[in-house]
Amino acid sequence: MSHPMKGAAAICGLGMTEMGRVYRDADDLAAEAVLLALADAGLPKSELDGLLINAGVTNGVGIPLHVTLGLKELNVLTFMQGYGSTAGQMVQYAAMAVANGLANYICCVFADDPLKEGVRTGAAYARGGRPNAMASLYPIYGFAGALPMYALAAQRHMDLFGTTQEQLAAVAITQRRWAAMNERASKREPLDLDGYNASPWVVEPFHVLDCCLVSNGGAAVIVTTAERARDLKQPPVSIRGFAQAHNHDVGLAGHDPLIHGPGARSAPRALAMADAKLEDVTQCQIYDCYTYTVITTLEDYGFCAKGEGGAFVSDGRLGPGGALPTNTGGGELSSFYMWGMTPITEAVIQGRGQGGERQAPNDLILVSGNGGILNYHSTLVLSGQAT
Amino acid sequence: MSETNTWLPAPDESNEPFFAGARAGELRMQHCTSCGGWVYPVKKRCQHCGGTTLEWKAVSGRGKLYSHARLAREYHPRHRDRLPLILAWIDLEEGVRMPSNLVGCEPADAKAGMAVQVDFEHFPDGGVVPVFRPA
Repeated sequence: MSHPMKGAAAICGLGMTEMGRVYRDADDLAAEAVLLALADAGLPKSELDGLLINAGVTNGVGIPLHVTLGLKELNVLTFMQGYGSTAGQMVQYAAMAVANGLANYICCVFADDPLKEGVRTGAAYARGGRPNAMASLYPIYGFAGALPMYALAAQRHMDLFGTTQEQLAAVAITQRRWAAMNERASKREPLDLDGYNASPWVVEPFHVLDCCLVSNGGAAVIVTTAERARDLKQPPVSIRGFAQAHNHDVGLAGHDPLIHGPGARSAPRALAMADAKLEDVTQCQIYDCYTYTVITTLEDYGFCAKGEGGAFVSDGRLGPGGALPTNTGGGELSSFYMWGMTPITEAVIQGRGQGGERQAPNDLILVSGNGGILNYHSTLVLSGQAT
Repeated sequence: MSETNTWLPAPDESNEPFFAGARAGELRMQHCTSCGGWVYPVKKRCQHCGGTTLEWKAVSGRGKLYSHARLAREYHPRHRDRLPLILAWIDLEEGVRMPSNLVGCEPADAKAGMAVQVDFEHFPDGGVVPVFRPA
């Protein structure tokens, strides 16, 4: 028997503001994203009765967003935070809420405004307090924010499995080929191995081009029942399956989350809800905060054995015309960084068949969200097909 | 602000034993008297058993390198003249994982799993922090 949530809900609206060096407040960007999603779905604001809100690194948007938007009668409203896994989580909670009658149309919105005029890009994520002497050891040792932690993760993968710098580069280079076809992408100029190697080291083994962009912007999707979605303006994107899995962080001896991420538990359950197998997946939208994240997530999902991800991403299969089109908008590395909304927004565009020259088969779209240091994970299985 | 003040706030009651240990050339951690588990960083409650009776004890200082990476850009006064600084996570014999630096090792020779031993880096202003070198 099918899972009752399989195909019960759908994404019917998509709102994306300008992204990148857009010097506007997160609350305002979030409001615009919600309004754009409503217009996209063909829904009047008065129909929106649910709002789930996720703020990025600046924590610049919260519950008062519904006041900014003048939403007077909501049946679902909360702020959520699971870092990069949140966007996928919001879609899951929204799907369950609409399927069970808590609300009819729930908008899931993310916005962030880390870029400030005249301030270095990296500063947005490197800052951090020094609340006490123990915590102060981290910057002394060179640890600040997520970047060094992911660099250590990639290095461990290289030490254990022989993964190479060129294999990390392959992820960045392949995704740039997709970005060239995405007018929303911040970085569209062609990239080759020389260009990758010329980009400065940040924390070796990461060059600048192993790291996602930092973007200001807002993104929103509206979730409703499959039945209601059929009557709206856009082709529905069916929510077939979903799951989450969360790990302890790296600071626990004997625990190896930098290599074995929670996606290994999340994806099989999401696919089971969708009555689907890994072989049925026609494209992936994988959270790509760093090049390494794509390699380890595809391994965790079972597309190849643990340790073989470097070779897996290097044969062109993830790129245009490849067997497993992945991050078809250019991803967080080349298009824009809206945390978990980057893979979801592209999945919605693809699910609707609106990808233009970058359109890939949309029968089954596997979407990942990843937060913390490979600690927090959400998986969505979406489809552009009605049943 | 002077450099001295920017690198480390004064230890407080909760973590002074850690820094006193470093000055004495000893790596000290909290040990749970209920379950015998080691706790790091400083906590009020044992994450293994939930116990609240934690006492400071010296650990062996022996461990293995869990992973490493090289900082290419300095962003802290303590990084000056130390690049490429090797960031390291260390798995201690006692079953504790801690962040630190790997010193006395060419970056190309660092490899996950290698045996390491604690050492202490003394800064000119008297600050002392635990680091690790190949055993």
